[in-house]
Amino acid sequence: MSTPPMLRQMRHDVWATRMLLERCRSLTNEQLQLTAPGTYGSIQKTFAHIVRANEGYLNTYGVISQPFMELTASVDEIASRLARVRDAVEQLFKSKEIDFDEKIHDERRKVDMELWVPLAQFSHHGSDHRSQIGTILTLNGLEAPELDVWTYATAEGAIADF
Amino acid sequence: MTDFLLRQMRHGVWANEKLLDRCRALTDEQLELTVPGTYGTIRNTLAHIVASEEGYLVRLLGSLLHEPPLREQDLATLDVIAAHVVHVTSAVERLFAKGSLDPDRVIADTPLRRAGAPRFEMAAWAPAAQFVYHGIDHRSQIDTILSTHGLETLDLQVWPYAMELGASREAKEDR
Repeated sequence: MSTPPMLRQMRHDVWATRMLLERCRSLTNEQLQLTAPGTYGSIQKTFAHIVRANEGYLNTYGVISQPFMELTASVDEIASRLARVRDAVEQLFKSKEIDFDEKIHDERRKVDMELWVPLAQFSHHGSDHRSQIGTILTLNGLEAPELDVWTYATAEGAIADF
Repeated sequence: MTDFLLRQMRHGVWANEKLLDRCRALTDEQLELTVPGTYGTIRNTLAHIVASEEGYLVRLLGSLLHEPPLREQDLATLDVIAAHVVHVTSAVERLFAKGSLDPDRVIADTPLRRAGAPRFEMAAWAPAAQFVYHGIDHRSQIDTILSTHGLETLDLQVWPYAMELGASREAKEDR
């Protein structure tokens, strides 16, 4: 049976956040507080925001529970929470097939919405903010890893060159 | 049920159109703004997004969308880029016209490969996922450029897109 493209997308997203977080483990505490105009905030705070938001999106599907991570979390705690996110993504797609067109009431956000919306936002949100961290790193003369799908798919053996 | 990838690609096209419209209000000088750590100028980044999306779709469909494809080195105007967004929109719908994409289908080559360039074989999910990722990444950079220079930015997340589609709405108080 094929792996659903949405699961591929989310695995790439979690992989990219993990790779970037690993890269940032070699930064000093001062470097983790670097930021750039037009971005969300410091590197550390942006990571926490990405993973906290991931928890929120997955909470909609009942595969992750509150409380969500604090924005002041350390890199170690962010990594630990990201592992929980990774497991929840797998759990989501192991459960019965989801009807993404189903309309739900989301009491936490006070909206009625179709079920595809938070998952699509999951993918968008992480890429958006990782891009900002990439900009902060480069702006400050620090190396930023390649996080695109080509790199991920090559590591997964899904791309070969001839 | 609407294919999830189709939903994501439609969101990407919507975000490109919104951003292009926003950038039409910029002067030529503003379109050449950039900041270190991003791809390049606003204009070049927009062209890069759309040219790349054409490339992913050509690979997925196995045929050219039109002649000639958008080339980044052409220093395209916003009108030219917008015309190519129309090609991208049409190709996205065509890709899903016969149902869902088979994510494991192996794509052996692309009609856009230049002579002497290496050939890549890949599962179809890879260029499809790259289409979604790549646009978000570079639109985020344009947002950073606009914001850095004190220019108005747009909210291009899935939330406002879903609101516009009617797939999300504020809940009634008496619920």
